[in-house]
Amino acid sequence: MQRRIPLRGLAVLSALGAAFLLASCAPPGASDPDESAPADGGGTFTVGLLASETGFASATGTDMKNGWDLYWDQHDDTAGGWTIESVYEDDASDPQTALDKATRLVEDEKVDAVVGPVLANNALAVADYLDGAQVANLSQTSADDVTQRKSSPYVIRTGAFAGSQATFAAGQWAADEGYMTAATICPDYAFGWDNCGGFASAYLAAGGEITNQLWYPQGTADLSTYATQLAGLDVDVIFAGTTGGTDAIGFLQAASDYGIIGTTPVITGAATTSSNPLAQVGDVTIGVHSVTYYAEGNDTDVNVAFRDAYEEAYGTIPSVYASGAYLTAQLLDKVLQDAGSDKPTGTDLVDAIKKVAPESDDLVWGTVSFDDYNGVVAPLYVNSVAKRDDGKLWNVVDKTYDDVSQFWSFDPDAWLANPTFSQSFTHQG
Amino acid sequence: MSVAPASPRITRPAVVKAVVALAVIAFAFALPYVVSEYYVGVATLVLVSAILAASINLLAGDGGLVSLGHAGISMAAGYGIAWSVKEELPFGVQLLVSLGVTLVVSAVFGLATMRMRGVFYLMITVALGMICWGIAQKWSVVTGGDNGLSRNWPPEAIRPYWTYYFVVLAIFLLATLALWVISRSPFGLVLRGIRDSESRMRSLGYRIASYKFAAMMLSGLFAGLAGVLMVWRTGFINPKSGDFIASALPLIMVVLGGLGTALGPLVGAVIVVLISQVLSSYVDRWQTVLGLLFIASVILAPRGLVGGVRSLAARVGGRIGGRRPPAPETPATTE
Repeated sequence: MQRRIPLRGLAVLSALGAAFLLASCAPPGASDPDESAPADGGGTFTVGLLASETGFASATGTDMKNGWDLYWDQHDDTAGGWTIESVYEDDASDPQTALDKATRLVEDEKVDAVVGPVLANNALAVADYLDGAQVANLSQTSADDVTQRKSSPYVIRTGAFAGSQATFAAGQWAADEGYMTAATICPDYAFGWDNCGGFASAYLAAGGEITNQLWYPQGTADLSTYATQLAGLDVDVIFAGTTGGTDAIGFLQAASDYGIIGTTPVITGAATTSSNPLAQVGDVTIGVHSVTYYAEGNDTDVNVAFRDAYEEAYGTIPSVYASGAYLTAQLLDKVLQDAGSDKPTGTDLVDAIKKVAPESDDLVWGTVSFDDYNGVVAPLYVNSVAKRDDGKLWNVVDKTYDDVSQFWSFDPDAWLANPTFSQSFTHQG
Repeated sequence: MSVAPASPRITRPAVVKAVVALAVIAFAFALPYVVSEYYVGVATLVLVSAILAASINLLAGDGGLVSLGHAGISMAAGYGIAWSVKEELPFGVQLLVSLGVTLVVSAVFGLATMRMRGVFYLMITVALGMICWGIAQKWSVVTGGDNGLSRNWPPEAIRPYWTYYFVVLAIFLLATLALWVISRSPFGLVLRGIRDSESRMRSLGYRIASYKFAAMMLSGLFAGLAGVLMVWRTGFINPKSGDFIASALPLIMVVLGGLGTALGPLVGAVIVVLISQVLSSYVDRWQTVLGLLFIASVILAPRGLVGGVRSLAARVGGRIGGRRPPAPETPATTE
């Protein structure tokens, strides 16, 4: 016994001493910190694509990657005089991993911009890191604060609406249709709070009244108990803001089983009526309304071309995530075509995107611009689920609300002075 | 069972061990000079994960008490820091808040589990871990909810990634040394006695529940330490740091590396972190790789890699040196 302690103990102690010594002396020469402005000539623009390719949000990552790849396949990976090089990283649907992978993209791959991530918590963490690293982040997330309370000149939301922004039109639409009372159901965490917050803010501002708000725990798949509660309510319209995963399937199924669909108008956020839940639940979803910033059934020339190419390449109808990545690629292409030989990075890239967007008339989302906080301003579509000629269910546009900003009709300063949405702060105004 | 021989004869396994340990430590020190920031960050993550795994190893290896909720404790400690940063409290107070939270949460864990064992112990810790996660997720005024809290940095002096790496390395070595001492102390021996025969220890007059409570408090302290270091590494925390997977991964590390061995948690952490961080950049199905490796390890090397290598070495060269069984030390005869 006594013999082993000195042997190992000495080793550990000397190692400790060395650790403290090293920690207090000069930095290792391995990486010099000032290399945020890569100068790799040869006209290559490197983009890091940070997507959730594994984990619970893997479907979003795949769609995002597909949308991105489709655009650059169509354009031979070139934009003006620049060659686009895409580096893919998987954040495994985990914010710590996302931060590590973002570090890898910036430090090892020396990317000129990072596209993604989709998940709110990942995106908030990564945006914060990229702001510090002074690398442009073309964000694809719905997290409100990325372009609100934590907005940064390096971060621009090119691939998604803010969580609450995406549902404003649902509230306005419900009021426009003359529905005087509403109930809401959303998952009980940030995403759901934002989703219901947007609906409630716009609906109350338009004169509606919300009688019940149901919140279900994150990860709930069986929503039948909530559906029975909803079915027993005497309301004119129901808003549902599911995450688009198993809860979307659970909600649509239960709403059908308990006779809600068909008796009470239902309007949902974009995720609930995305292609997977519709395919899983089937024809009973026909007639369900949704509010989206990308409607696959929109018959503009730009969208038809995008949709057809996407279906030909991947065999599925494009999702909001695919459209967001495609839009981001479109914007980047336009910026680089105007860029000449000076590579636009950091805030220059963000500013160039803000400048080029309103001048473009061929964007997949329609007319797009950006506000002072780098939040996207674009149309919102109110759709209903319909059956396509080939039997697939999709969303067809009923009504368009143009130029929806992340602050709707509210004053940005007043909005930002309020806390983020939660169960105890459910609406603005 | 061979008690350590009296003569100060240096055995071959001891030399091999010392050489391996020195090589590993030398490698650890050289690392920041040869690899990029990202990989230094990964190495830091390995060390922090290893501390968390080691805290589970103390309970599971010595006490036979398998906790599947330890990420709840480490997350609570992390939130102690993050909340203090949000409230702009001074650094010393941040540490005190974090320590306080760690002690309270560990005490809750300890009180709820001190009369449990086996699968009941496991299930209670799972439940407690999930409660921690649920509180973090719902109590958004304090925790930021799912969106988490950012920019919770350590003091400027240890903030640069390579400085932070050395600091974590030093803390890891200290923690490993401390756990090694605890494991070989009378307290550790009692824990092993409880693991091997609770009824016999009770009849010998040991207050089993107190020992289990104390073991959880000690283990919780190390878990809390890991939680603080985890937050400082990226400055970010959200409830994912305390979800079921976050609790399961360190346990997988312990089992992969070698339950009840001093180096096991580190070896396990190296494997799991390399697969989840580095291999995942090249292989989409990295989780499958991790799963297969875990199954293979349980079947082929039930004592984990360290245990497996040890018994292999014992089989090959054991005739020469003082061979001893892998996990348990001498029974508690020296009370």
